[in-house]
Amino acid sequence: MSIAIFFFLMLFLALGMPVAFSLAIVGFTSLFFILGPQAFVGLPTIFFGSLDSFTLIAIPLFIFMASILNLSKASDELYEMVKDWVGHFSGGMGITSSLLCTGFAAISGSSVAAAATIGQLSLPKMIDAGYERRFSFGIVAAGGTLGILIPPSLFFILFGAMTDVSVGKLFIAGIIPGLIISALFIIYIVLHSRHRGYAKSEPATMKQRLRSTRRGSWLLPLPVIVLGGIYIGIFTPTEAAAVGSVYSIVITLINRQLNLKILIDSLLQTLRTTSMVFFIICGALLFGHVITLLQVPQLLITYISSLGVSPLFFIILVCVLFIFLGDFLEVVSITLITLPILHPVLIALNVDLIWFAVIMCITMEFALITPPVGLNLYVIQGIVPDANLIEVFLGTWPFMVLMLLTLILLFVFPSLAMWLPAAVM
Amino acid sequence: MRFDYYKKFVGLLVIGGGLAGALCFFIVTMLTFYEVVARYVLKSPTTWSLDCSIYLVMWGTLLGAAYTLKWHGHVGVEVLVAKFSKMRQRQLKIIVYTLMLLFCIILAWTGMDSCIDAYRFHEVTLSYIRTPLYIPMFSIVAGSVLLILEIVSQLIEMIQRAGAEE
Repeated sequence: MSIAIFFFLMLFLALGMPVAFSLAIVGFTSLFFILGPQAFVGLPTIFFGSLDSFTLIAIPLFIFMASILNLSKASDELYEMVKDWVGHFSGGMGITSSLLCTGFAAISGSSVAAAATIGQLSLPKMIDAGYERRFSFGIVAAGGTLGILIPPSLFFILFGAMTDVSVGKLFIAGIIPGLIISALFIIYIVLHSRHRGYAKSEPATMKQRLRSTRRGSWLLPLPVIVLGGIYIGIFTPTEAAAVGSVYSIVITLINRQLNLKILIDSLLQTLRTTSMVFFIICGALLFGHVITLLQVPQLLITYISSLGVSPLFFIILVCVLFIFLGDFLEVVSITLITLPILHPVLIALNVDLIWFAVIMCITMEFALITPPVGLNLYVIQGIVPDANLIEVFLGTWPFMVLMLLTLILLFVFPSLAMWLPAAVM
Repeated sequence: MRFDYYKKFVGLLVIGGGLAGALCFFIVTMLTFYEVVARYVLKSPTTWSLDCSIYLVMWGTLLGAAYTLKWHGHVGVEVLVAKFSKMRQRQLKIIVYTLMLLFCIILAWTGMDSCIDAYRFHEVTLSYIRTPLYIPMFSIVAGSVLLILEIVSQLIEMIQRAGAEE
């Protein structure tokens, strides 16, 4: 029966049915075959239980915060500030974009939001300055993926909600790997720019730098408030998201960047993303219920034990699977389809869940920039309409090599992910 | 002609649901922020804000589901379907939407049953403030009904287009 269930899930997905409905319909039908009419009683209860979670509320609140900053153009000033400080280096515009992606990741939690916001600001400028189009696309598309690794991260909230691992610890675990990837990106950008001989821009005067810093500094306390508040234990991640949202509303109001239309658009954008994510959660939990009833994780554990493979080898196989799934599904769907099956297996194999979450997060970053469904690739296409998917993808692959390098580093030195959460919390 | 009226009516309902859902998220933001203020500034944490936030997010999500569908916001794998002819794509979409419609009807019907039971037996949530269960539970019915109306509207449009092309 398990094979039939997975077959129908794949069939519905292949037919173009939305992921949430594919999971829910296959889940419910299977439940009906297992429980009979009892499944009708279980359906609304499982839907209700899926959404009855305080941790998950953090997701719409972080999306709301990012939407306000994105739509009100508050990030424009951050761009000017970073450009004034680093724009005159070799590959300065690329460094500015990469640093901004890292910075926006630290205030938004969404890769697509990071790529869209920074892409709109920096892509036209990089191309005008004579940067190779492909290279510019790669900087933004790959840089944007840091949104789900550097806290606050929507992926980590989902992972925490599904596995009961502390979201605060997961957030901290993403910091060092996120900064490593960001540093590797910048090193590559500098080396590539020197090799290509891109023109350097005129250095800004100290007066200009101080002026842009004063304008852009409004956003700088945001990651400190959000992350600092969680680490010190003042607020939960959900409360941190609400405080961040209110802070974003206040600063954009003070700077006259927010009006009623932008506020409503931000809320509607939040609604669409949240509804999509939470509907997938409902479907995934319904599907997960069936997986549990059929004891699929237990069967998988028994099978792995009989093969005698090491946990490390198993994780490597899982990473390959994630990267493969990333070619067809987006991050939320992969996370919610695979975690209910993998979670018990990982516990049985004694795998550190925080380390695994970081590993999984980096493989999910690949999903964001691999065609045909890499969302960041489409974000770039949205900004530069004549860019084709292959051109954008070719720009991202050098960055994917650097991400793969970080992944290998994490396998060799797991403490890169595990040390900071243990030391801080 | 009748379908045009239906489409407009459903469109208004779905957009209304979207705006109501968006308002729910705004209230949740303010409620959660207020909870922090109440705890640290007023030194008097509330007992109700947590539950209200959870149930408002539930209502927001479900009211917004049809609005999200209208804006093609529910993600799916469209790469394989894109390889078929336009005609075949439309036929597949009609099948997919019919299955979705059936699921939403079952969800609305079972959700309504649960609401009636919760009301009749005075069931309450397990949380501190003991909210009557039918209040958050009814969001499932409201969301499913909006989804049914939107799916029917899109289905009729697809069938009409397919008919016109043939």
